[in-house]
Amino acid sequence: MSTASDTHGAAAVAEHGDGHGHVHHSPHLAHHFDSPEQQFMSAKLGMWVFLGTEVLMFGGLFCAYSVYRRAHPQVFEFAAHDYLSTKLGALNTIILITSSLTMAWGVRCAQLTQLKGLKICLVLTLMGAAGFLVVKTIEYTNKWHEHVWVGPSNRYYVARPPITYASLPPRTILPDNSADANAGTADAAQIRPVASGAGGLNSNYANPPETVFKEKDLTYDQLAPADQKNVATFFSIYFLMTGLHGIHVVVGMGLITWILIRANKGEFSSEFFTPVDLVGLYWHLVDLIWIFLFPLLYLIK
Amino acid sequence: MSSLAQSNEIPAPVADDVGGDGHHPKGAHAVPRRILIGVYLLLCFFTVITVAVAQIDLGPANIWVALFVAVIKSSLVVLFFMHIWWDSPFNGFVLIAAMFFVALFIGISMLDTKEYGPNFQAPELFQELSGNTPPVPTAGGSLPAMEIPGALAQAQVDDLWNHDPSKGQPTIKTMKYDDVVAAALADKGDRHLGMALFQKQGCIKCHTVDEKDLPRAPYLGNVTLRHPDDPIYIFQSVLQPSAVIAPGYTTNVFKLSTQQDPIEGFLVSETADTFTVRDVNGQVTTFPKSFVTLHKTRPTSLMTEGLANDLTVHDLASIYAFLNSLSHPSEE
Amino acid sequence: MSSTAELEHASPPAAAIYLTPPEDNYLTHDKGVMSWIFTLDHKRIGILYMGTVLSFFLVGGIFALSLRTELLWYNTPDKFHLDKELTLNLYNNMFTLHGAIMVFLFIIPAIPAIMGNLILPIMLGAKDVAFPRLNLMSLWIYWIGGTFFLYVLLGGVLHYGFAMFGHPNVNLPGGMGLDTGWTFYAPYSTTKSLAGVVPATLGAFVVGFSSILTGVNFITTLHILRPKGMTWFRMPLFLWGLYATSIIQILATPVLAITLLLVVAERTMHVGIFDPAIGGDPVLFQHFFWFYSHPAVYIMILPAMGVISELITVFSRKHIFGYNFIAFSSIAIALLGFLVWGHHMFVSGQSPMTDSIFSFITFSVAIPSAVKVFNWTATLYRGSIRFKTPMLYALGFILLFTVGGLTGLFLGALSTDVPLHDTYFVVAHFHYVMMGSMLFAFLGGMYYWFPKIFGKMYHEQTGQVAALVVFLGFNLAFFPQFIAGTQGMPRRWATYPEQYQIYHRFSTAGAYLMGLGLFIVAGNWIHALKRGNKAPPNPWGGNTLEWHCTSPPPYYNFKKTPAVDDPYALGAWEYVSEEQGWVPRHSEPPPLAPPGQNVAITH
Repeated sequence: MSTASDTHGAAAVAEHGDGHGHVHHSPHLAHHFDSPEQQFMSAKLGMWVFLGTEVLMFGGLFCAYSVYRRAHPQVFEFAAHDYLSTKLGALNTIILITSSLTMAWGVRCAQLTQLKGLKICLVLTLMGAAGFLVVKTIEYTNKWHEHVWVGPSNRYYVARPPITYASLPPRTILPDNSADANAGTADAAQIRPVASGAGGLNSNYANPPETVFKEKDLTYDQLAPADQKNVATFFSIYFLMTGLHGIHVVVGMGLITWILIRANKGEFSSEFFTPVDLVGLYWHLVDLIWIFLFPLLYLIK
Repeated sequence: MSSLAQSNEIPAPVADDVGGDGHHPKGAHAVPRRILIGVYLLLCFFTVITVAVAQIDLGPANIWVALFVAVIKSSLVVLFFMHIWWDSPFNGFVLIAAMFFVALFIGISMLDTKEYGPNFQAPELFQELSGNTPPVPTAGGSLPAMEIPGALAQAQVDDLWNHDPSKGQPTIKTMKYDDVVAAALADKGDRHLGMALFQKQGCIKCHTVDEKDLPRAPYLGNVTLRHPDDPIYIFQSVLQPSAVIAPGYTTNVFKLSTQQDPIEGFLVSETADTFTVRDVNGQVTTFPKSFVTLHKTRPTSLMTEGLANDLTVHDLASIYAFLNSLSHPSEE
Repeated sequence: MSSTAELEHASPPAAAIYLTPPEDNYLTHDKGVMSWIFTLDHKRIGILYMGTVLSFFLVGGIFALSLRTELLWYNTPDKFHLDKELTLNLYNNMFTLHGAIMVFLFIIPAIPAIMGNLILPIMLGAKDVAFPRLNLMSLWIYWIGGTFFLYVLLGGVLHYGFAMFGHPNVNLPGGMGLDTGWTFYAPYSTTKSLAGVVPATLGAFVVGFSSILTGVNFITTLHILRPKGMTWFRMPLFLWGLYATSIIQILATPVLAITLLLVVAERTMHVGIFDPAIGGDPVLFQHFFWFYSHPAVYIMILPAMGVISELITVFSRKHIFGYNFIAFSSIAIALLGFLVWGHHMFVSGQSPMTDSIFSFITFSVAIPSAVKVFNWTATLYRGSIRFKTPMLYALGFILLFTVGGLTGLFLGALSTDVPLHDTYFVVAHFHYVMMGSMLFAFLGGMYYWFPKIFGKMYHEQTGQVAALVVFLGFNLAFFPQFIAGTQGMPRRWATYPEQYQIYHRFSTAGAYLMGLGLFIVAGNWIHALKRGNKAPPNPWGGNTLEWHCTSPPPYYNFKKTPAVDDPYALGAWEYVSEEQGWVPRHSEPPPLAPPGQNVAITH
């Protein structure tokens, strides 16, 4: 969202530089803005609005997490305890907080035209991001080796028949129940609570698990049968949340690299540091999301 | 042209968040170093706090404490690292508004899913209500408990497993099939350990070992009598379940017009116009042939591959020893 | 530049200026295809959106006519001895693609991306939107998303085309066509459907980002680039409409994005969040989906309402009645629209508690819409009404939106929704608000700003006739559907009981009539582009800032930010002639600055 001058602006300046009598303005000032202050405020507001959209996108995943965890708390306890390492998660949290510090410091350096400091901070931030990804890779590799990957590779996955064209049954017409005069009507008395649950996200309410889990270390066998079907879905949620977050980290690394290249060319100073500021805001958002992800996924006891 | 050649009179912007000191736009103030470091240390501190609190069991309060700490941490990041403390408050308002809508979405979804949870009905009940006569379960039902003569309590199972002498040896998934079989043949195994493993690995869920139990997967109470002196057959059944399928245990798949999910299991019997199928949970279902829209068999067994992947050769031999002991109870 | 000399002369002094053709405008300023594809000029971006959006409207319309044709007979496959399964599958594809293309590629972008881009900066007296390059990216992203849908269409055409001639196994990778309904409910879309669900949902995901970035751009532009004197409450109401729309775009579209990603994940990686067989919850999918899709309908209608506010005032020569109320009601609709999504789920298994909450709040969201209708009607009262083409559409809007809005109340009330859900009553309701209202406002806006954008006048009588044909065709098409719905005709059914055939026949006749009307509209525009008379800067006598520059505007809009007046102080203009349009009135105190150089009024 950089606002460096563009051909549209430059052409316009050239076009009516004669009758315009412009006072000298910064080459960074885009022509549709009246002042650098206005341009800077625009960029900030635009970036914050965009960050709002990112919050809402992750919010959807947090919703799936919340609904699911409320319905199957034991699944979460079991899977998180057995397969997620609190140490690695905490390490990642510290790494990301540190990289946020270096990023904020880098923005400060740009504002004070401390170019060497800016570059150092950006490099440190990149290293932090890389470190985060290294730890994440370790975690994901562990999951792969323990057969708790996403989807059918998961040892707890309950299989569905694969979708192939050949496996589709021919279209059927429902059997004719006209002989049964009451077909389709339901007597209210027939609606009764179910004794044995058929599974599903909310099956815990129809049939609460028989045993009460007070022990610290839940094992798979101690889960209610309905819950056992759902363990694979915990991992799906885990991978979706951390995966989407990881993608944002990678994108962030790309953005920081771009800023580093521009910093090397000497483009930033106290007169113009908007791109650094905006990339910094993005990076802090990535950190913010992790601040919520960490306790929700790793600190379930 | 008099009025035209004037210098560019740029009207001041009217936007709401103009401020600052006239030289720098609002929000361009550089954060002091001590604030950056201070906030950083606070963030690390709160991380330690939240990890520590998570080790204490506070019941349902755990998650609220964790979220509370997360809110404090994120406020620090937003206010100081992201500059909102010095910036136009409208920018912070944008973020708060987004979080409000997330909370709205999560709140109502959680409320609704909690409320309709008890309404989840078993598939059979839906079919009754809709007028399509469902396949009638004639026997079986939910998993009845199984009694093994001398079945172990969970604590004993765990104890035997924890004292497994072969822990640390290579697991079966890292070895070649032929090597596993050769090594297992040479190992006498321990039938007590085998019994514990039979329960722990879940074999007991499908394979009955007591004649009184309703059969599900093949009955194993006399398997070594039926295949005398053939431990390789038993090993193969565990390691490569689909290699040989016991007669009568071909997996049949029936798709019915009256329900969404197919019925998958063993064909118990067949009359002129009905099938009777027993699925892996022991549920026996009889249904008219006219309901069937697709019928096929699977070449693979219902028993999944790799059930012994994390066991050692000694464990496999112990299971065999256990099965052997069922047929020859007096043997040591 | 002889304007100074003309300024000294007698009245009508300004008139002569308007006869001077602009020597350079945004259409002629740069030449070549690259200058269009890589343009940063918001007006050119608006034109490019226009071309693409209207093309997709045509495609969606073709699907609509196909499915309406199939519905002429209650037993089409049997009657014409067609392969039943193939015909029914093809029908599923028709209504799905009609819905998906119309919603994602036409209605949601139409007014904001076309008219917002073309007019919003000029209405602000600004030179461009806040982020011109982001604007260009929005356009490219929209094109890329549209390409995904074209892929799905191609797959469908190939598959069904070949299947009709006996080769049913021709498939593009990723599936063919789309048969899930535009709402692609799980678990059908995530497990059983063989259609191109993944490319279509990815296409919608990409198009969603175009929408989000446009929202970011407009919000920033409206906050920061308003000129001196234009406080929030001196802004034209069209801009209030766009502002409220942008708020919804920002807050709702990301939830759609994550829903679509979850569908893709479920189909490709078998994640299982929505699949009941492995412990998922299909009703949760509906919560996700409708949290976006209900506010989405307000994305569709709010800009349309903004257009109507402009049209009603200008063509009744009266100040808008109740400006503050209309402005606040736009924001109220935007916010309340987020609280009612569950009214799409009354029969899906939602709990009674949430059913009641949503039903209750749905009644409240009707109130701000009604406030607007009352204010427009009060504006019309004792106005001097001209029945130009834009006004015909605006009046049609008021009538049809009232019908659509009131029938929405039947659907919002819990007990009446249960028998009406998934019947043609719902179909008629949403077509009255989406087509009868939004499309009419779109056409009205296109006619209204056509002279400004293209510098040509369209032929007025043809426009009026076309408007009438469209109006009649629309009502003939959709009013019988209300009745069919109350009689029980379900939606999305290709074959149906014979008793409903008469309603379908009227409906199809209306659809064809409306199609005819729309083709006349298209012809009207194309003819105007080629042979229309030159348009004056202010053909209608509006006072919003876009009428203060030439038609078409120069590429820089205004050399200097114009001074701002009440946008609805229409008395500042007087009518001269057809060719010269309206000019500033000189018997009043002089306008805030004299007419400036280069045939544009700049202050």
